[in-house]
Amino acid sequence: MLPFFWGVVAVATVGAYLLDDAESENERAREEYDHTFERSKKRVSNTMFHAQRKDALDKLFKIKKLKRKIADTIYVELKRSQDEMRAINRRLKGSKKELSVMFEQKQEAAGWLKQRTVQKKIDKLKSLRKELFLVKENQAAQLKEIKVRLRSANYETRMVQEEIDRILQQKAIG
Amino acid sequence: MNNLPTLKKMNLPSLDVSYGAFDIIGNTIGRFFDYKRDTAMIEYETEKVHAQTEIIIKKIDTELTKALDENEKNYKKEEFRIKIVGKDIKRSGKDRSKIIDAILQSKKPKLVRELRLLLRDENHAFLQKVTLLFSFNTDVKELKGE
Repeated sequence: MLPFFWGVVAVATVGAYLLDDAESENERAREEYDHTFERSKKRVSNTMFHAQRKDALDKLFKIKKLKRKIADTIYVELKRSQDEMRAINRRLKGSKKELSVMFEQKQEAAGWLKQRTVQKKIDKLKSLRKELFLVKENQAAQLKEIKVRLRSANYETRMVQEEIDRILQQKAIG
Repeated sequence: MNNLPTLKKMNLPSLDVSYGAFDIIGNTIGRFFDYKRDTAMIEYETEKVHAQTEIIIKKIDTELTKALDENEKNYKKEEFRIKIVGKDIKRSGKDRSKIIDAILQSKKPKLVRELRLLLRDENHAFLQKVTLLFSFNTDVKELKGE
């Protein structure tokens, strides 16, 4: 009878031990499952983050390229306008010299007819200069407008660059 | 089990112990099978999570590729438009320079007046073309979520 009793006790002990082991194993498996689930969630959100970031950066780099192109086009026109302004100024300066020469000629002219001819030339040149001043005024307004547009184009390009920097500084989750 | 009546007659306390022990053994076996079932279920769920993750990631990749293709198309269009407007502006600038050259070379005030009026119209058209260049300015705001 006694061996049977001890046999039962031994089986019960081993059983209890196995049960404990099984339960701890079960717990471990559950923890592993939870961990896998969390990791998967993180992996998906990180992938989404990188995908969105790649998309946004791709867009922004292209926008920047286009904005740069706009700014370059306007810059070329600004340079052209500045050259034109210089040419107008040169012409005005030249005509001023011409005018002073004519005044001297008028002073030196002896006859009335000669004086009248020089005066006519002077009037013509004055009229021409007046027109040139109006052209200059018109071009100065144009130049000012182009400068404003260029500043705006440069600002927009800079804004895109700032946006690119901001996105590049962002970090993935976890 | 045949010994049980004998044990009862002997009035030994081990009888209760033996019944308890059988219960423990039974429970142990039952719970062991529960554990096996739980483990199998967890393994199955883990595999499912892995598979779902892969599916979601693939889906994101596909959508991203689609979005990038769409962007590529839009930007090519926009680039083409800017190229055309840019060329137009360049041509307009050259025309303006020609008018100014003609003004500078002319010695007749009447002709200069006519050219000046022509230049004014040319300048107006030029600024309109520059405004066209700036019509592409919404994308950054969209990205910021404004």
